[in-house]
Amino acid sequence: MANTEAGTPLPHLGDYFKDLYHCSDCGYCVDAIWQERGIEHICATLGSHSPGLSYSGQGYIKLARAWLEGEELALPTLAERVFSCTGCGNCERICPIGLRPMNINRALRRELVDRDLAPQSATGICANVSSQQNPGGAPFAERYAFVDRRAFAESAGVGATHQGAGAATIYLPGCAAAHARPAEASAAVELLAAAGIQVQLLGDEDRCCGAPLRELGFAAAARAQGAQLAERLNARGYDLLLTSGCECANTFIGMDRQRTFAAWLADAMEQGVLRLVASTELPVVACMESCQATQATRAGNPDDNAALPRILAALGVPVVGDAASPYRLCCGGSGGMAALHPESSQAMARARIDAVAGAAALVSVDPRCVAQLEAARTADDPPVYGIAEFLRCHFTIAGGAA
Amino acid sequence: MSTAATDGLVALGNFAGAALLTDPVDLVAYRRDTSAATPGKPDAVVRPHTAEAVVEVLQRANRARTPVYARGGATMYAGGVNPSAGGIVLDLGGLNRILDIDLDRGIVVCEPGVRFGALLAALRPHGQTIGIVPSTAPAATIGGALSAHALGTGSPQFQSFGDEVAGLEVILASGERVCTGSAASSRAGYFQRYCIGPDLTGLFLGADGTLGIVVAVALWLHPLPEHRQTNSYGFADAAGVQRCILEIQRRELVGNIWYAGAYEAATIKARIGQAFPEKAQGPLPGFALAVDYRGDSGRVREDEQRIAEIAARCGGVPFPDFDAAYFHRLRNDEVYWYSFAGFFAMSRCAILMASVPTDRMTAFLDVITAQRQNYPQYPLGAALVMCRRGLHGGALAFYDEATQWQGAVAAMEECAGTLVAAGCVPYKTGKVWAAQVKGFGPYWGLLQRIKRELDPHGILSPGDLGLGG
Ligand SMILES: Cc1cc2nc3c(=O)[nH]c(=O)nc-3n(C[C@H](O)[C@H](O)[C@H](O)COP(=O)(O)OP(=O)(O)OC[C@H]3O[C@@H](n4cnc5c(N)ncnc54)[C@H](O)[C@@H]3O)c2cc1C
Repeated sequence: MANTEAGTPLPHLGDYFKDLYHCSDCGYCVDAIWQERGIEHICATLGSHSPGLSYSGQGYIKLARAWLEGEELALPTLAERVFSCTGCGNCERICPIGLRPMNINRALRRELVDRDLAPQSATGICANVSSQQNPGGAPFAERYAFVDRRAFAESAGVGATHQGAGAATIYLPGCAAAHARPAEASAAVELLAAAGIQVQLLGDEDRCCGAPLRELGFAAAARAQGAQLAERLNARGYDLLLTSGCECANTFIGMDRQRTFAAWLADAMEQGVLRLVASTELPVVACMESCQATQATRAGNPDDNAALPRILAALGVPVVGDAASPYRLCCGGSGGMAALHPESSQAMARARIDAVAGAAALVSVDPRCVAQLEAARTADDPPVYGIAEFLRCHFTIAGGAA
Repeated sequence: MSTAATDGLVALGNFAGAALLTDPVDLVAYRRDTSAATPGKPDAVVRPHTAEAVVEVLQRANRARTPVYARGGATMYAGGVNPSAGGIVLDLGGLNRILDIDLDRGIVVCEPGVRFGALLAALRPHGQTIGIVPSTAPAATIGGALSAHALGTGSPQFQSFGDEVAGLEVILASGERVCTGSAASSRAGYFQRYCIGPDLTGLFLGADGTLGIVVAVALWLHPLPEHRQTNSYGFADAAGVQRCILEIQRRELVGNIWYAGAYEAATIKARIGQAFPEKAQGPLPGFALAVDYRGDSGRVREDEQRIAEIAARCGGVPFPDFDAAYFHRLRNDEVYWYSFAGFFAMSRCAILMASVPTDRMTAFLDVITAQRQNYPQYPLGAALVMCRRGLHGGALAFYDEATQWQGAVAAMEECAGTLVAAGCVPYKTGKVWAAQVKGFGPYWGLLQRIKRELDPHGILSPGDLGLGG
């Protein structure tokens, strides 16, 4: 019946052998609705790509088990199913017995990558990361276009080498903020400066952290990217590493002295390190949770989605909708979905926007979600902002530690 | 599968937006439900979004003599959805609209693929709810629940899910559409189940999809309760609990009980041990009865007082530790998680649910005890749930699916036979009780005749209830 763990032909599934035989088919990872827990549905792929169970957490567990048990499966078809997951992690959060279908999907991706069966759009992302250091293939030279590099270098130090002594905070925008949402990155830098922080930027030394590759199952390439970036950060030296990218933050889990920009900002607001004064009438905001931010909690990190209402509350910004739910459906920005299945990815973003009622602005801590939602937004929808951008648009800096 | 059926299905792929899956990769996940029953291998999965599409599927399948297995949330533990004869799995999750909430008639009408969680959320703003809610509510569907006799939460007040159904719309194997109850008259619509003649609604309740596919369900509404509270009582043994439940039922003190369960010594020890380790060292009751009340606060208090007196007469004493350590949290916070906790104990769980006359509760437990002695390798849990009349008794065997699957199934087959011999009857039948159904002579004969009339080619869920397959 079952292959034994030792000698399995599918080494990446080895860690999940137990999960494959523990799934009770309860179907919570397919669809579940539990209002008291803020669970409205579970899987964005099933909702916006295909309702077939082979695209669900349960389906990935079944397919992994069938493959492990030696069933004949058409691997290119399997690859299409497996490379349609956003990796949002809802299936893992809902599983009543703590199984890890999203990680099983990742393991399946790794198996398929090893067999050169990853879809072309996925290998394209790999090529982009290797040539341009970002998944979308935007020119690397534009990565720090969000700041006036010369002026910044004089005042704060783009590309400046900081050796040990004195406080150094490195701000890493991450690929999404740097290329798809530069306004968020520049606003973040402004806020950091206003708080009296001597911001360092890596500039030409910056590298993609590998998160997009990790999501796609290119594990070795992802590790190499991460290692390269870590090496450069360590060489530069820092006391605090801040990033806007929630998926980047997940790469840094386990590293010392790192946080997301949103987590820093929430503390800064509450501790009075930054003082902002409303410059416009404040719009009613809907908080757009990031599934990547929620995932950080698995490793014991705080959920940055919770930082957003804290920041808004500290500023008296009215917020609409239920309390933040860790189960909100993915906007389609995650898991390589935008490149793998652009139409479905757009439909996910649309569904996310459509689910909001009564808001005049949509705000997220995650620049990747912001860029994704923006791409699906029409003129009739409320504007979408990253948190730093939102503050820049609606507040002026009245003071800080600077 | 026959060519005719395949051709028909491919054409159906473009019909009324029904999704069609035939790739083996896509069929893997449609082989089974939560049961230990042998999985089937479907040839195709069809996911319609309209009743018209269901009609089309059934007509084509009927012509091609292709089996059709209805599938809701597939959370049942009886193998009903397992396509043991191959053919089509009809995934009803796409029929998921709430069609009408009629507060004047006190009825909600919905499609079968609506999940309990969605229905409860839609009713809440109206201050309403439904009578019976399974502990799989986030994922289980209304159609699956009525076809599998859902039970548990609500059973003391309302007995079984079927008692809460006011009428149905069903599609027969031939593709004919039939409304039951008052809705048989299109001018009247749903408001009365027992009218016109015999209760045809009842024919499809608990039928595991063998007699027709349900495409609309009318359920009675109930106001959301004003007050909830839980209480637990400890007894020396099961006999005391049995006497207590009998007395509560005889005096009809069930009107404000939402859920009540009886718990064995092992559960008591484990739960008290986790919460109050020092208390677990001392003497603990051999059995517990735990009650979740809901209703008007004054009436709940009156009933609670009376039940406390009955419990005392039967040797029961208040057991607040059990309530605090386990039952209150279970009913309020963990109700939709806890049922699955056992699955991690080994790997999966084989469940047999029986209807147990309250006066046979101890006989049911004797069967469990014997089963434990005979099959120590499959640790067995007993779940006892109070109904308005009688009990539901569940036997839960935990097994390691990688190494013990077949053995566990065989052990549970034996358990099923022993339970019937002890005076219990199958409840949630599917395939796991199929052999026992055949033992109920005249009932079985009539059931077969009805089946032949409604589904002459035996395409609907062959194997379920022991019919066909
Ligand atoms: C851990 C655990 C706890 C559970 N707790 C409870 C509980 O507290 N109470 C309870 O009642 N049950 C419980 N169940 C069993 C099950 O979850 C419920 O009975 C549930 O209501 C079944 O709904 P479903 O949509 O999953 O049905 P499915 O499993 O999809 O189907 C059940 C049967 O109905 C048939 N069917 C489905 N839809 C239709 C239709 N539209 N027309 C005709 N036939 C149809 C199927 O063919 C099958 O035979 C539990 C199960 C597990 C594993």
